[in-house]
Amino acid sequence: MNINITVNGKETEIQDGLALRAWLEGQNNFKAWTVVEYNGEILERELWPSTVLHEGDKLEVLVLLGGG
Amino acid sequence: MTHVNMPIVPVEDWLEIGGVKLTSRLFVGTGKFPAHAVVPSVIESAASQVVTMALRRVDWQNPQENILNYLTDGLVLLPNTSGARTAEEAVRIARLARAAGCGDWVKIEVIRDQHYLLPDNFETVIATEILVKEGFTVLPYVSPDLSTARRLLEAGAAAVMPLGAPIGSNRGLKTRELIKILIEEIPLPVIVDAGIGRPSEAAEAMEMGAAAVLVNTAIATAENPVAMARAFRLAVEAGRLAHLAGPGARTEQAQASSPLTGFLHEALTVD
Repeated sequence: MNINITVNGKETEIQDGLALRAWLEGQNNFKAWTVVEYNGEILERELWPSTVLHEGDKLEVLVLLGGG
Repeated sequence: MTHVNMPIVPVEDWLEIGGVKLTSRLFVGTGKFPAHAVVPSVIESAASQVVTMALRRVDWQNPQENILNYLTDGLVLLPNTSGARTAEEAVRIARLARAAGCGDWVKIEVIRDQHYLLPDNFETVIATEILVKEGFTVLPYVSPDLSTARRLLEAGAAAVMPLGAPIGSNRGLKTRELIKILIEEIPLPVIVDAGIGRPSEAAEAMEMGAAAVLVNTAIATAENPVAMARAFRLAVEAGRLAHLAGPGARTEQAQASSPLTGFLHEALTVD
């Protein structure tokens, strides 16, 4: 069974019951992400493996890039 | 005051910001480089100690690497809040940057205008007030305006960063008269950020008494960014030294550099 979450502003269908860390590992750019906002709150990296994603969750996955 | 033993370089010429004593007065931005891999050589060539970066959403289609992987330990990281249109968004980005491992420094950048990318000073003051209370070392990017700078001082900003010209324009110190006023009136480091396109312009800002300059586009878009980084380093050092040396007065008419005793003139008129 699948659920819908919003990742970086885009509706995304994912498998139900996945933890954030497990879902991220399935994406490109595994080593790029540096910080995650989960439903509007910064989520400490240590909590990624134990945070299970639910229908309607909102994620912002961010990376530090070159900038002035 | 002539004295043969004047020291060329002052014994102590630190720029102290947020409790950190910097010897380099050239901050560099890491945007627009052809590749992240060029950045370490540029920073080394510029001898910079403060480096800026930006926070963005991961692009799942195009591989990106964390810029921090290219930066050596010991640099002060200055994430910007680019992309923020309001104080609230700037605060959110600052907190995320800190969580991403950037430390406590933040360059507040709040922009609504898309043609000239001029900062919203009002929102910038609000974001500064909030972030100072949260323990950040706040360096706000502003249009050079005395009233805004006074409010930033009251809010506890660590420096004021007025623009010389629009971001990325390489047009130089178009706002020089207003920047001069900030340097005279505001007891905070004034760091000229944005618009500086040539080392000579960086030197001019430093001669005027700017505490430092922040350069990105001028280095990143040069044909040889590593050489240009060195040119900026030398210019910033020259300008700083000139400022400390105290430039002589300007006058309308000539002031002869040689003694005006005129014996040659007398000799010529005798014939």
